[in-house]
Order: sequence, then structure tokens, then C-alpha cells
Amino acid sequence: MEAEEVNHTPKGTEEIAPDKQPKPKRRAVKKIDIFKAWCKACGICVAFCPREVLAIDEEGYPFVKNLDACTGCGWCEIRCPDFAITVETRSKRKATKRGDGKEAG
Amino acid sequence: MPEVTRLIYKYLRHDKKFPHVWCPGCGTGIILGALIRAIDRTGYEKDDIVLVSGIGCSGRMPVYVDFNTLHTTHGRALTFATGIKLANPNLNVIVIMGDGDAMAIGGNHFIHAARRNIELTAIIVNNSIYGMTGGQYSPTTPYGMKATTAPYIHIEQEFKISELAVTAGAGFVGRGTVYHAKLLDGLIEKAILKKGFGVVEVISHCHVQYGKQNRLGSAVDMMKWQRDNAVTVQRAKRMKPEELEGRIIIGVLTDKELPIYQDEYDKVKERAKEGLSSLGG
Ligand SMILES: Cc1ncc(C[n+]2csc(CCOP(=O)(O)OP(=O)(O)O)c2C)c(N)n1
Ligand code: SF4
Ligand code: SF4
Ligand code: SF4
Ligand SMILES: [Mg+2]
Repeated sequence: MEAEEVNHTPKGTEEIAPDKQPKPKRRAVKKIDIFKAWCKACGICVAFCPREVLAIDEEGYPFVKNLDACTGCGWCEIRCPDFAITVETRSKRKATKRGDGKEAG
Repeated sequence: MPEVTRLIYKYLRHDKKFPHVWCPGCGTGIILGALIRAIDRTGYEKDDIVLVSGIGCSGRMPVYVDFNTLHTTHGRALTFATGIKLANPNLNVIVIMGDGDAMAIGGNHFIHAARRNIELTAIIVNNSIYGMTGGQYSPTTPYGMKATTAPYIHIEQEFKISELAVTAGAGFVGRGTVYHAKLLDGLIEKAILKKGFGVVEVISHCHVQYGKQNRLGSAVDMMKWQRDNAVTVQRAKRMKPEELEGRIIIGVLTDKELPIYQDEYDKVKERAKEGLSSLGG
């Protein structure tokens, strides 16, 4: 539908030549792997991801819906009871930092 | 390689025993993750660790790890562990027990291990129920809840595992939940490094037995309950007793220096030797 067409050009970059466009922001996370052979479709990783990166497919298994939103916090892999999801970050992430109870309410 | 993959390759019997036997979403698997992260942080070699368990869903944990392991009888894990530690004090002996395992049949062993302050680490998976045998009530099932052995609601008061451990004389006691899994890493690490009896009580969920009978929902729902009901030790100090009603206090509950059983036992050996030489023996 033409009426709903949106302009995908980021604001303020319209006049810049294609080769001078600013690079897209580097993602913190390279990839998220879901190892289906071990995954039991419990939904924990999806329910507690703070950025809604993951979603549930029609069979009940998680899949990566929006990798760009992932911060690499690591909570999905830490709370997965089945060691079935791994997050590969570009740099050393904070997920392995000492538990100090700060995440508690 | 993601950090978790490195840990899986290093500490778990990933090529033989996975996927594990626990139900989808069971908290016990999350505790296994915290345990291997904690052990990794202590820097101990795999061969220096012994993981001892009793019987129960939680008791199956040693099957999945690449340490020295011992899967003993229901309720007696601490007795085997005590023997291992006294025979070879260089080993780091970690005991994993269920609430039934540690508080019902093994309750006496638990309070006396705490009283002796023997250098062991005890991790208790508190899911408020006998999970493995079909949802019978345990000493930690709260008043008013249902179990297969309490269809008209449970009429007894629950044991508070951590408070019991503090009173009985354990050197280190911490409590966490599986929702707050990163906190568990730190608590388990501290308990392992503690000279003396280190206890970590983990509030977990058995949505399949306890949750189902009490209409508490899925594993996710029960973890949300943990999230919404836990308060840190620091925050609890600023709260009134009535505000703390029904809340789970998480963090380090006690960390104190008390005489350690092994040290005292070594002194006995010295005294006995001196006694013998003065007798000319
Ligand atoms: C001496 C003895 N008594 C009873 C049993 C039966 N039994 C097996 S596991 C269990 C209780 C399990 O509950 P818990 O320790 O809380 O572990 P969970 O399965 O909840 O992790 C019982 C009573 C047994 N195996 N051995
Ligand atoms: S690493 Fe954090 S943000 Fe990324 S998918 Fe996992 S829980 Fe979500
Ligand atoms: S938490 Fe683990 S087992 Fe559960 S759905 Fe996510 S990847 Fe699968
Ligand atoms: S019965 Fe309960 S404790 Fe046992 S594996 Fe299933 S959910 Fe976990
Ligand atoms: Mg239990």
C-alpha cells in the first residue's frame, strides 16, 4: 500500500554521498545460537530477556527475532536450565561479572 | 567461543549425558550452571573437587559433571562427604541435596555437620517438595499448600533451612533463588572458599509437582514469583517485620570465623602423639 510507505533513509543523512554514509553502529553481539537438540522449549530465555530479542516459534522453541536489540547481557544463557542457548559477544561482556546481589529486587 | 560453551566443554559430560533428565524449565539445571561458574571462579582443578549427592531430582547432578562424583543414598550424602573430607582433607567436597534429602531423612546429619563446622560445601535445592517421587510434602512445604500426601492442605509449619543452618553453627550461610542466578555464582564461590561448613540454600521451583498441585503456573511463572518476592539482606534490614512476611531474604546471611572441625581434629592427633611420647610409647 503506497499510503503506508515509509522513508527508510535515516534522518539527516539524505544529502551525504553513499560512500560517506556513517557506518551502522557496531552490534555488541555477534550471534546467538540455540542448540535445538538440548532445548526443551521452556520459554525462560524468552520470558526474561530484557530487550525482547527472542520470541517463540509455532512449535514452542525460541528463535532470534531482533539481534540488533541484544545487549549481550547473557541472562538468557545464565537462566537456561539446559545449556541450550549461547551468546557470542564482540568484546568481553559483563555477564560473567561477580554476582553481588544487585540484580535482586 | 562463548564463555558458556567453554564451561560446558570443560566441566560437563556434554558428549555423553545431555540433554539432561530434568523436566523442561526445572530450576535444578540453572543451579548446575551456577555451580560450574562458581567452581571455575575458585580456580580449583577438576580433580580436586568431589561432588556428592543423595537421591532425588537434585541428586542426579553428579551424573552430569566431570569431577570426582559420588551418588549416595537418600539423606546420607553429608555422611559420605564427611568421610571423604576426613580421609583426604585436600579435596574440596561439595554436597548437593534436595530439601527432602537434607531436611527430612538427612535433617540430623545436616544440623550436626553445621554444629561441627566441618569444611564442606552444602548446596540445597529447595523446591518445597519431594519432586522425584511424585510431589509428597517435605519439611519445607509451607503451611496451607497442597501435596500428594496433603490433599486437604498441609498443616505443618515449614523449616527455614538457612536460619536453621545459622543457628546450628555453620560458618557461612547464603540464600539465593534460581531467578537471581548470578547471585548464586557468588554465594556458591564463597561457600566453597570458606574454611568451615558453607551452606547455600537455593529457592528453586518444581512446577511439575509442586506448581501443578498448587496452581502456581509454569516454570516462568514460578521464577517471576521468585523475582517479585525476593529482597536482599541489605534491603531487608531497612524493612519492618510485617513487610518481610512471606518474602525471601537473599544474599549472605552469615559469614563468621568459628573453630573448624578438621583443625581441631589435627590438634587431637598432636595431643595424642605427645601423650604417647610422654608415656614412652
Ligand atoms: C532411604 C530412602 N527413603 C526414601 C526414598 C524415596 N525417595 C527418593 S527421592 C525422595 C525425596 C526427594 O525429594 P528431595 O530430596 O526434595 O529432592 P527433589 O527430587 O525434590 O530434588 C524420596 C523420599 C529413598 N530413595 N531412599
Ligand atoms: S544476551 Fe541479554 S539481551 Fe541478548 S538475547 Fe540474551 S537476555 Fe536478551
Ligand atoms: S531457556 Fe533454554 S531450554 Fe528453555 S527455551 Fe530457552 S534455550 Fe530452550
Ligand atoms: S519433577 Fe520437579 S524437581 Fe524433578 S525434574 Fe521435574 S520439575 Fe524438576
Ligand atoms: Mg525437593
